[in-house]
Amino acid sequence: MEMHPRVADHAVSDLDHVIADEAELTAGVRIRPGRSYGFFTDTTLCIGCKACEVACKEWNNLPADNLGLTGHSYDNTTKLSADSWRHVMFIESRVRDDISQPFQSGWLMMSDVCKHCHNAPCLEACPTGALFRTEFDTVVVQQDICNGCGYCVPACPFGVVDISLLDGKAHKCTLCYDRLKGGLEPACAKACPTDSIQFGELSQLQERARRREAELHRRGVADAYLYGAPGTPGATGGLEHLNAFFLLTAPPETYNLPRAPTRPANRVVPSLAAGLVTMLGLAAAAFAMFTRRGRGE
Amino acid sequence: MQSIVGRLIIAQEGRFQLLDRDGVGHHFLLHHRSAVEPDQLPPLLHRRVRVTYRPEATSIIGHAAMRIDLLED
Repeated sequence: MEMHPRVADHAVSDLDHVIADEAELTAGVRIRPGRSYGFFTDTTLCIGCKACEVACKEWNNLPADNLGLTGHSYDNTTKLSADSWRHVMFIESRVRDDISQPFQSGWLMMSDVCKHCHNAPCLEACPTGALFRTEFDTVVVQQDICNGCGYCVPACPFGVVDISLLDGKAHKCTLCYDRLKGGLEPACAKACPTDSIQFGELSQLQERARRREAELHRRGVADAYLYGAPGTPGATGGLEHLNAFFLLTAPPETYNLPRAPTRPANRVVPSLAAGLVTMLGLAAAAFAMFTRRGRGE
Repeated sequence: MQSIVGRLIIAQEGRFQLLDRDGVGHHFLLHHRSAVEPDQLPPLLHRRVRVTYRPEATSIIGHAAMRIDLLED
């Protein structure tokens, strides 16, 4: 069989050397193991171009899914799944009566992704250790270890992790673990034309996000707030903070985000205590019944 | 089951792409009953292979690969 010319396309890089620490050029950050990295997604800058979705699918070789029209505005991905690790939401709302034309929609757009929680519930629920925390403080599923038990799916308070029906394993965003190891910025952040998705070292991102929030308040966007940064909504219930956090302008539920997410592990002790108390109560009731019967009452 | 011959051009975890003799790319995911493990994909890059697959992955543009046979170049 003849080799088609396309097979040889870009088989070898046009560059004669690898660009060391490329993320320093594209995102202004040098990627070093042992530090915390994440995403700051500023939804006020998102234009819904879906470049992040495409870049993610291209880099990770993920197949197109959810074929057909959904009827939900321009959203054809509908949700994060085993094959969609970035999802751009189109939320039709806020038609501004004073300036908008009749029938003109107003959109809230947001590129959703795995939050790479500081205390990740999926990681806590994984019985095989397939989910692990990387040297970049991100959470990744090791495909060769995942046994497809699915415990991580209900454990995630954001509904991010999904089991593929084809290979039976859990899949989610890896924050481009392979790219980080090569000194590259994650594909979605690099592709974002408006810098709505910003990649960087977490402390710097959080500082930048607070400055942006203050700036928006100064400019009259009073409802802008951070979701997932320390001390903000989303960083509740023992999660401490989210490595992928957001700047939103509407209540979290509008973006299909929980107002106060929690770690399921928080409920283990109360559940165990409730179970023990129930057992003790039933045992006491049975003991009382048998004692009464023994006395012939 | 159906099969297709081509060259494996991209492999990422259990996902790979095959380029047929007409230059058309085909997307595959290893089925959970596949005879191939994801670790076995990278050595097959740019090699000529026959992929036996189930065209039953209805919700995605891709196929479930069941078996990969290495062919002579």
